[in-house]
Amino acid sequence: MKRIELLSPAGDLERLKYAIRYGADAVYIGGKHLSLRSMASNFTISDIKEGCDFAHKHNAKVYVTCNIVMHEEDLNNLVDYLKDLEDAGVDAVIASSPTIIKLVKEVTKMEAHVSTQQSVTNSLGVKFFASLGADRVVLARECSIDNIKEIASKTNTELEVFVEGAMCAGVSGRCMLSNIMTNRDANRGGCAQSCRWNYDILQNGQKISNNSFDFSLASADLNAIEFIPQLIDAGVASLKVEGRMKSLHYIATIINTYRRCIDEYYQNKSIHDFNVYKNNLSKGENREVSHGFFKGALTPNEEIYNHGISQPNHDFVGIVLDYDNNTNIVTIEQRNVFSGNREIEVLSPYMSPYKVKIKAIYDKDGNVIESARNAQMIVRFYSETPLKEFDLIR
Amino acid sequence: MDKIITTYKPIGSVKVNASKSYGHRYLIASLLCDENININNLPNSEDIFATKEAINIIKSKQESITINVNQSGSTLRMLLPIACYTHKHVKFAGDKSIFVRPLNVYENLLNKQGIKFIKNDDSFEVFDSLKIVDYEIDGDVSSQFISGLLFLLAFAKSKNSIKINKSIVSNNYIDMTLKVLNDVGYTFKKDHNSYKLVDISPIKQKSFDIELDYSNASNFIVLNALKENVKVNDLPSDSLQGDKVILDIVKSKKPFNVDIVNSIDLGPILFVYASCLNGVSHISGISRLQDKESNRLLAMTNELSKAGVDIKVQGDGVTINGKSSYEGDYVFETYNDHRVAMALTIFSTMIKGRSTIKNIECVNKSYPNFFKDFDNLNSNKMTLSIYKQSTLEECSSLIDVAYLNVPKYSYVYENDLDIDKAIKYCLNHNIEPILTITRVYLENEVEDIKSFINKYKDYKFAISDLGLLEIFKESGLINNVIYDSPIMMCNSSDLGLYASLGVNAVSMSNEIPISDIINAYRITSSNIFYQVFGRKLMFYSRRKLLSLYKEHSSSSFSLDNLSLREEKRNYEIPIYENEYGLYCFRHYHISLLKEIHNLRFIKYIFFESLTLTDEIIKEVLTIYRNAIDKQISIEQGLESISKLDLEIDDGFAYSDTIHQKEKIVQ
Repeated sequence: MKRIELLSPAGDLERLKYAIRYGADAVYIGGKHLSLRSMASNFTISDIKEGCDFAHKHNAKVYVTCNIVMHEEDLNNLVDYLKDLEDAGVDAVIASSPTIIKLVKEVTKMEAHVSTQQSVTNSLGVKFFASLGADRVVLARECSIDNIKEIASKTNTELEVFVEGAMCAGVSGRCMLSNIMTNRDANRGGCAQSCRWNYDILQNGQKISNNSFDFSLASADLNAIEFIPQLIDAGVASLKVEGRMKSLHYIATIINTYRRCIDEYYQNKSIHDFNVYKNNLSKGENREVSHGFFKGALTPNEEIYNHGISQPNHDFVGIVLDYDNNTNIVTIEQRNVFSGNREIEVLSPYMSPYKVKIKAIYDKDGNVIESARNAQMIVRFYSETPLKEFDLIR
Repeated sequence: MDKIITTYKPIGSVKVNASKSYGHRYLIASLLCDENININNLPNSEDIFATKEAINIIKSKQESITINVNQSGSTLRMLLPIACYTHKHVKFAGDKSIFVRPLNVYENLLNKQGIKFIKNDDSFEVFDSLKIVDYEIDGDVSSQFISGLLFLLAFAKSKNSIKINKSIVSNNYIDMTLKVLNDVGYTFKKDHNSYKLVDISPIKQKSFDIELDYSNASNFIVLNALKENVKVNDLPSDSLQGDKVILDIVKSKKPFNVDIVNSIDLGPILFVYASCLNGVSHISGISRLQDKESNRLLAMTNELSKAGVDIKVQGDGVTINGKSSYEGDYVFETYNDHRVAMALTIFSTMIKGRSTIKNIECVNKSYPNFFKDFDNLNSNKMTLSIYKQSTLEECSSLIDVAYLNVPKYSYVYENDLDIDKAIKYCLNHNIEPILTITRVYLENEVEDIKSFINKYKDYKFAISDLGLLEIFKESGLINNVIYDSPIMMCNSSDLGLYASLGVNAVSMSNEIPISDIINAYRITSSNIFYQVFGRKLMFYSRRKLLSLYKEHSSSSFSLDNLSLREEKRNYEIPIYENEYGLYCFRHYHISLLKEIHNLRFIKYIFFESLTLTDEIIKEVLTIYRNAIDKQISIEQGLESISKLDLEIDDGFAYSDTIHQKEKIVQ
């Protein structure tokens, strides 16, 4: 059987390349049109081409999201755009509109994947979209692991399942909160995330919610790493990570962890200790997590989270540009304020994160500096442990 | 079953079934072919089924066969010669109405050849094989006798001839037979008054598309002439069908004089058409109307007279002095005759009042989907969401369609609606029920919803889970489905695509401007379901967030009458939770009364009754109904709506949402 695919989001070319270096088998990105994340820095056609060239060189695939609910004006130049994507080397288009799904199959050789915005929660839905020509269906996040297994056993179409990241509290694609409350169209990429706002609960016009505990419509983020063995055994085609708006550090952390977990399961047919992986994921995650609907309904403690957004507790400080094997000097590009004489953690593709003690840090001219304060400044330090280009430091 | 017709406002297009006459002929022609031929779009009618069965029996090698022609005179008259030629003993059985109609041509023929036969009131039995000779018959009989003999000569590959004395009636039907024979390689030549087989060539094509039926189409062609806005699709312009003449008759929309000797099946509908035109029309050549499935002359004069139509029969013609409108409540008998039933249905749309068409099953003979197509053309069907029996009963006189929220399967709200009781009430009150099962179903719920659908498969359903379409596809009942997931339906292309799957109607979004809805209809001509009034769902979660919050914050409020308020916004959002999750609604009721005349093309105009009292709903429906029927002006309607003391808004009717990054003000 084909090995399960690890599918990473990417908001720009840099993140696309990191996702692939850190073990993603495929990435999904948004183009300039028809993409639901209008706030994510979306790719131009030439960016997409560069991304595809890079991905294909590394045996990875690129999917482009065209998953908005199109209004009449969005129908313009649809075929041209799809052909541009095909010419750029895109492997698949992720769409919710049946028009796009059919067009992709009729006018291009790309695959068509049905977006989770279509809320497919049963095998009949999978069969319906297969009849329109879809090659893959992304299941709705409301499916339990048992539902997923049953759907997989009853269908022949590739299935993709979300395993990590933020979730819509509402049924995806069927939420009008943002549209009504802010006039920003959630189904065309303008989601204002009104579900995450705080609300008073009123009964017959009188406030009854607890002053010390706000109510919101949002849900905790998803973390389903412990279901990987079952998803692999069920024959699911792809494991998807949410987060086209998330940082490079987030992507490297999450993809690195899932990559190693998946590989361990294929190698040993079991996972020795999920807690190690969960612990690693928590260094990238910035909200509380839950299993979503994987085990069915949620209990209050699994679902309701404290609404203050917690930042990841491991500050990501830089990217390794070079390691000189003769001098043992590491050159990095600064990403967050950082000083010397401390212990750093190194995140390296296909490896468990490990710690290194460093002493003084230098600027690019060799002067000792107390801390690296300027964004993207070049910083050097000595390390006997050899680091590698593209390692991340935190 | 009876059909009740009150107000009827057709708009849209209809595609009638294929020609029964051609259907019979291609089926019979298949007997002349060495290889199997494909006959596409065979009309689904009882008569065609009778011919199909008869063909199978004739193909059998037995000496003695029995053929049940049921009510199909065509089957009997066009197949008798071949059947009696190939078998030593043939018994035709069927409905009594068939055997009172003339068979004298064959009786004479059998007598001439000394073949014994017995004619009963429900059978015709022949006791020896028919011989091929030169035939000679009179032309003033049903053309089906001539067609039957032409098929026989082709079947026997015989050079014998058929000589016709006197002039032929229904010449075009013979031309249709000759065309079909020619299609399968048999060319006849007409010399003076004789037909002779002159050439047999190999068959050129193996697959035949049957052209659509002008006789059935004539009902909708007349409906369009009387009420406009009806398009009858895909009729062949170069057809040999005699009833094609209906197009010429309705062209001027004025009273007419016409001889229907060659288009006798147009009789009933032309009686109706003449009755509804201001002035005097004259129809001649009607005597054979008396020999059809019923005595159509008697049937039509009886029934039209009930409504006071000025109608006089004289010799072979009828004079009708018509008028454009009739009033009153009438019960029309249909005489077990499909053409009478269809014609009187069209007549009923011109009557102000309540008309009842009795025993409408008779249309199965030629056009089983007639009433479905007829209903489908009706537009602006007032459709009300029903959560309790009282709303249904209070509003029954104001609505055409009841959108019955099936407990447990509909999208929102718990309710205790007794579905069987509600359906029964609807059927008794001329309301069409739609069973609303608009939830999204998890895999473990699929079997349950499947059995519910199968239990109620005779009715229409509103669905939003596309997977359910697979269930309807399987049962061939996809036309019963209204795809009701409006949030997802925002452009003409997706609308057209879903419509092309064969669903009955598709819900359009209330989050796009009305101009886009109008445009989408112009492009696709699809049946649209569209909400014009009431609450709109704006958030649905499978998470029971309220219960979870209660538990987590140790609160003890009940889940009734709750709403949410965001700090910076001065409105309350109604919120509700049940065992399937959490629902929030827009804080206002939408009302699109202002646009109602521009929404004439909307098939189902939908009113959401959620959170409204029966009294308020009734008032709203009355205002809309009066505005649609132009009993009140839009301004008057708007004023009445404003007096209801509801928060009303036109939502996105005039402004689209914004979505592009650069347009979003942070």
